[in-house]
Amino acid sequence: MEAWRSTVILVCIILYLGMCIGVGLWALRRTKTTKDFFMAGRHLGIMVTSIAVFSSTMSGFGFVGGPGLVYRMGVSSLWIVISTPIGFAISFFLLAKRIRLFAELRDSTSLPDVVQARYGSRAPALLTAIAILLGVLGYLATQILAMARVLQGILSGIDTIGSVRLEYCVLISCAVLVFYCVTGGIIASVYTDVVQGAVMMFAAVLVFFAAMYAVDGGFTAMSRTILEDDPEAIGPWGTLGMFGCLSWYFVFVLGGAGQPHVITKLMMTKNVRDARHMLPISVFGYAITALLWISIGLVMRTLVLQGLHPELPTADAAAPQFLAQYTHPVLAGVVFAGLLAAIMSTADSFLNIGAAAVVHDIPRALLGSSLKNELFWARVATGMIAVVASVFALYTGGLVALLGAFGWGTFAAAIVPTVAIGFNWKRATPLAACVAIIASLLANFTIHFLATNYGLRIPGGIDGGAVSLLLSLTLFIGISLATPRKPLDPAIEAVMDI
Amino acid sequence: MKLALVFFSLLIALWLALGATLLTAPDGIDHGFQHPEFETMDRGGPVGERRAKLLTQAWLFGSLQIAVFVACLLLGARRRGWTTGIKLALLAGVLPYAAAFALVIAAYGRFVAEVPVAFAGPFPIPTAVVLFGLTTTPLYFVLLYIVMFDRWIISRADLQQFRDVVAADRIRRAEGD
Repeated sequence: MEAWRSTVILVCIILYLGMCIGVGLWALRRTKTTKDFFMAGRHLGIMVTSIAVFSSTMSGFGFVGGPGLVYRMGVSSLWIVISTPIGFAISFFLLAKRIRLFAELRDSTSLPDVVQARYGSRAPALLTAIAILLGVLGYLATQILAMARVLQGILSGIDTIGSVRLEYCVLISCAVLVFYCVTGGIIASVYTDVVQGAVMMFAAVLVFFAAMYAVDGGFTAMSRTILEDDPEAIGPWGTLGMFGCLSWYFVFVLGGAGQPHVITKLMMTKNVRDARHMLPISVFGYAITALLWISIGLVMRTLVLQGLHPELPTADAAAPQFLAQYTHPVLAGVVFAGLLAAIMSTADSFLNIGAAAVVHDIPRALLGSSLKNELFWARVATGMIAVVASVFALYTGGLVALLGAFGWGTFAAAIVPTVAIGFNWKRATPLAACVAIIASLLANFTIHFLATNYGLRIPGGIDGGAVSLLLSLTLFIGISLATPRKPLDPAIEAVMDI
Repeated sequence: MKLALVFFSLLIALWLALGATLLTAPDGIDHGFQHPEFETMDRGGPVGERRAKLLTQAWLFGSLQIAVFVACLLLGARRRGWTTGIKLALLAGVLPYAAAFALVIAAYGRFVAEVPVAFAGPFPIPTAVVLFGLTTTPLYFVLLYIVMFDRWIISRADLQQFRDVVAADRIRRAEGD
């Protein structure tokens, strides 16, 4: 079996990609209107939505970047993982009911639609759409790059195939992604998310046990090895430090309520009361998949420190190298499929909300109406966004990293005040929403630009996204309190009382 | 209005806590540096002593965050006719959550000073408190959401009221057209 490792992995990947194409074809017949394409006709069930919510949250960042962070910094990134229960609780308390009711009230098909309904103004909706589009391009580019690199790593391990150019790997992985997103829209996206989420959970549990047995003495021995080398690495703050970890905690707890690819799923449920069951399922699913994040990072750091594994070329190689060398070939195949699943489940959501921003939200905000034949243009826009993001990913080098880092923080800082807070607070004004979004974009971009180009960082490892989020929240509430209250539409006001 | 003012005050307090820490902390504060042997790894190194001087600031920064999180939960649970019971039930969750965070800080203070390091399960005590304490205590809020959903979030009567609002709104908008 060992001799066929790469082939087994490739077969698993082909089966997985084939499943995605199959779901795309199945969803094609169910996608007849724009509402189907962007909102799945608002009739998703509890299980489907819950799994789609957690699998969209756990992106390639979690499956590739997460173990890399633990390998590089020790347990610092534990603070991102432990943000899950309180982060999901806040998202559900603030949004699950409100966003679903607004969506039904105004028959909305996107997040900017409900922003326009809530504020009674096109400006916050336009700025929300622009923030989404900027974040989507950056985040999607990093996801595409991660997807292509995983595929390249797998293909290069097969002697008969040998080295494959990154461009071809981008082409293959994007072709599958675009196929099911174009044909089946969000219906294909959420149903592939279900399979992807299940694969991710299964893979994470198996990897957790594989990691535990990769080092004699299990996790206790790993902790002791890391402790001997550097006590701080296995201490509660890792090597990042107290303020860095706490700033991550802040941005990941509150930022969850600002991720458009996640919260739009809350608009798609059949019944608003389903949220009651969705919260625990989403928390449980995320917690299970996070096992992979922690366990691979710890085991690879330990093996390198013990001299049993050569130093990794990059921290992000932790997961691929562990899977390639310390797991059974079939498990490696399942987990590599899970890894692609983690990336694609986020990327497909980005494609969908990006397409909505281009063909629905921005024209509506600027012209007052959507494009004619919107479903056709939505499919075209989905393909175009994938092409633009692929070009970004391949040919703009550092810009991708900058935009990728820009992603989560942008969404968090721009959308949490306007949507999560503003949908629950009648006093919030359109002006405050606009200022908060603009300030968050400027602050995020400036902080990341200075860090990337001039090495100027906020002291203490404090995350730029946390500062931007704090800034936008403060401006949003401060300006709303300081400016006259705008009368609300009676129906919106009535819904906010429920 | 009152909740919004409390929220705003908490955000200002977070700015002050962050600013005061950055202005008064020693150079580099407390983060690590590249591992001397493995360049793809970082090392905390001898920062424990410096971090020990910043424990109060870290406790304040983290505790204020917890207060902001609970303010968000209160904002989400707020609705017409909400009762003191809802507020108290949510606020009751702050105690174990904030206590778990305070325990992380206290345990870290000992972790920096003690040799040999005490373990709880597979991890040093403060790390175990982060992993098991700060993960489990907020589950109280998840549990409240599930158990109190009908009474706090949306009941069948609320749903009927919503349907009435939608129907009235559609008539109003149709007449407006």
